Amino acid sequence: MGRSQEIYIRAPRFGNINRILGKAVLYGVVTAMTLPIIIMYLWLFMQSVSEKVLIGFIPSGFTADGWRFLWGPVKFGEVLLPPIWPITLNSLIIALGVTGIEVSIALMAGYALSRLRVPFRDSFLILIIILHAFPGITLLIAIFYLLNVMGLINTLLSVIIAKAALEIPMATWLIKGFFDAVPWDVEASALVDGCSRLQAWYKVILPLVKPGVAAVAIFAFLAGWNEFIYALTFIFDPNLYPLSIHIIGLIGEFRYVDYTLLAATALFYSIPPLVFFVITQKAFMKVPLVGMKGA
Amino acid sequence: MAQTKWAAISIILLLVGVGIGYGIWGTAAPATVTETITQTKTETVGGQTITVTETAAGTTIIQTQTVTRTQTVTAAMQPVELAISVWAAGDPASVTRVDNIVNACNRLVKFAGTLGAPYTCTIEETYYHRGGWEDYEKKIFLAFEAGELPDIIAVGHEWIPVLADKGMIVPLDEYINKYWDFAFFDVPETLWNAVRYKGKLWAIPQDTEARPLYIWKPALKGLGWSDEEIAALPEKIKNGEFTLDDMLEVAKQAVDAGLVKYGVLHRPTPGGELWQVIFAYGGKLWNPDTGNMVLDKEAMQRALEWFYRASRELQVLPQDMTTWSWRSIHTAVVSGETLFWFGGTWHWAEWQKVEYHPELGAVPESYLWENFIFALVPSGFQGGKPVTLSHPFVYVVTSQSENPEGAALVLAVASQPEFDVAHAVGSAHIPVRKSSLEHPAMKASKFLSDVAYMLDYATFLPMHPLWGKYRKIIYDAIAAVELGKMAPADALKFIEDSIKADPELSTVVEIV
Repeated sequence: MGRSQEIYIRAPRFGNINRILGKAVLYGVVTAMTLPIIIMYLWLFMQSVSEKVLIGFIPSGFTADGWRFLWGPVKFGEVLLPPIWPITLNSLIIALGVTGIEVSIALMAGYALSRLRVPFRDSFLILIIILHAFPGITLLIAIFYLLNVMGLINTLLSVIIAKAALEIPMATWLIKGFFDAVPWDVEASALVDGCSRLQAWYKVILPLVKPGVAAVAIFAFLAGWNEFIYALTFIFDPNLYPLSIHIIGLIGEFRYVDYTLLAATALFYSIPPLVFFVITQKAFMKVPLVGMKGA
Repeated sequence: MAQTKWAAISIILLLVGVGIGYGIWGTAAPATVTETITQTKTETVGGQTITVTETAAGTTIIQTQTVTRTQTVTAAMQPVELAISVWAAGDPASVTRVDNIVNACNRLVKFAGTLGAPYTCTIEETYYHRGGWEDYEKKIFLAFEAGELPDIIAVGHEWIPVLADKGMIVPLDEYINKYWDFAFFDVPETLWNAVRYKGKLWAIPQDTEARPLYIWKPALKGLGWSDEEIAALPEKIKNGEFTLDDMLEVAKQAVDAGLVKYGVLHRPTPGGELWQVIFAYGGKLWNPDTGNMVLDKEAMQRALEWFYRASRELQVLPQDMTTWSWRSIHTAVVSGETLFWFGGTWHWAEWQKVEYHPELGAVPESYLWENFIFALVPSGFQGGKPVTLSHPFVYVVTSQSENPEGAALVLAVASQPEFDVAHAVGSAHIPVRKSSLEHPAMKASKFLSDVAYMLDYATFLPMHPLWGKYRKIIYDAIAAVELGKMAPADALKFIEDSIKADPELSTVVEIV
């Protein structure tokens, strides 16, 4: 009795230890995997507020000098850099433009491919994934000529259109999966209740695929915000440059780089996507549970 | 009947005589003269010249005369709006390439203002300091395709053949002649030769430079050289008494003695400093008579052997030199890690503006004078002529400019000595006008005064559209020799074979 009681007491103890060990290993692996990323961001932050960093990321001497671009003109060598705010606005216009076009087209295309009897639907789905398989860089010159014919070169719209066009296939695939998960009964009920097809799509289906919309919107925003090569190729007017090109300008040929300024600007560059993610992540994480009865 | 006849003749003669007499008397002492006044007014209206002639007559006659008075009446001038866009590129210290255009524009407006001319001038300037020259080149060609080229572009002079052949720029002979006395009369002929292509002048020289060999003085002192010996070295190089091989020998001594980490450093990308070694062995890369490029096999072989000795045999030049970053090179140079550095005059300014030194950051000029001497690149032969390579930067006017006349005017003003000097002193380039050398700011710059003589030894890059392709082959050969992938003889064969295998190069490179 006493013996069995002893075993009864020990068993949970070993269980706890195993559980703790298991968690420790798990956290250890995850930490090891994320450590480089954490160190990168740590370096960015420390460098942006330090006169000098020791052993990679230990700050030495606080300074806000790196952030001077927020309130005044910045000289790079003898070159006076353009103010940051119009450049940030350019990036925002591109990111929001890409998001708007991509989400609206992908939502309609995804719904159509999921619900309607589209001729050659399977072939079409394969074709759009093949289209996505083309690296954007290989289409650069062809897109340049097209945009040139359309008279859009040297405008922000050229970057928005090119980027959105190349992102739409993947977004369509992504959102189609979400539409597929919505039971047909839900839509049928809406139609029975007197909704038109468009109303059913807008009032009943869309609220159910909010996480999908959020996912597509986040990816689209990030794609637009990070855009570099199209902006570099299609835009000649420095007043239209986005932040990505501005940062390359700060690096130059690594001859004149001011690391404090570079780190601060890079951190500034990463803030809007973070804010956008925080806003949309609530919808992103939400599992569609409403209206699933009988699914 | 006969009497009647003679009476009639007498009366006629009398009348004629009276008439002649009256005429003579009247001319000698007229009672009154008719005055005819002709006034010509020249008015400038709306950019057009209108000549108006007015004649007044019939006043009291004292004598007959014609008076022509020319009067210029300046009517209210129409506003002139000059909008010019300019692109330039280079290191951050050379931003005066666009700043000078902006300042010239302001000067033009002020000058016009003193004449009462309502002149406005707007400059849209773009200075590319990001990426390398290839990115700048791509930008220019894409902009040309899109019809978005600016009015003025600043480029290296060797770009002219490509830009001209593609119809991207316009010849400037007309404007250069027009503003010759105002802006260009004292630009040296060598610089005009650098912008002449197919018999036309395609650009206006913006700056030029020499590529001195910088020598770290403390290392020479460590080897036991006296101050006098160190000071005399540039002169010895000038006289051909110190050759490229002597340079390697001293470098080896300094490295072995632990005075420096490296004996020699050179640029990590294709560029003039490397071709100087070919020139130092008597080679040439371009035949100005035929317009073709040249592969001088003997000189190329000697040059490749020199790079081989430096990197592989004596190991005074890093074998991975072509993989270094610019920043690490400059840091090594200013902190005294190398005895010799194949540099450029502009580096003198760059070191004072960019924080390259690990402790000092941007170094003061006094530090440079204390630690460096500079000289021409030694000849490869005893008694031979040393060399340097000059790479004039130039302004071109594009074929997409809507106002080439205005662009040329702004360039003429930007070529005035004060702007020429501002760029030269700020970026340690050499000014393009002789009168700039007399400017007080230039005289105050000891460095520029000291290197000015090097232009007498200047060589230039080939003026050929395919130079970019040819130079890459030479650079790849040098890199392969230094990395130990090819022996000099194999590298020479690689260059020759690459030329022969290329359908374009094979027709425009003379192999001698």
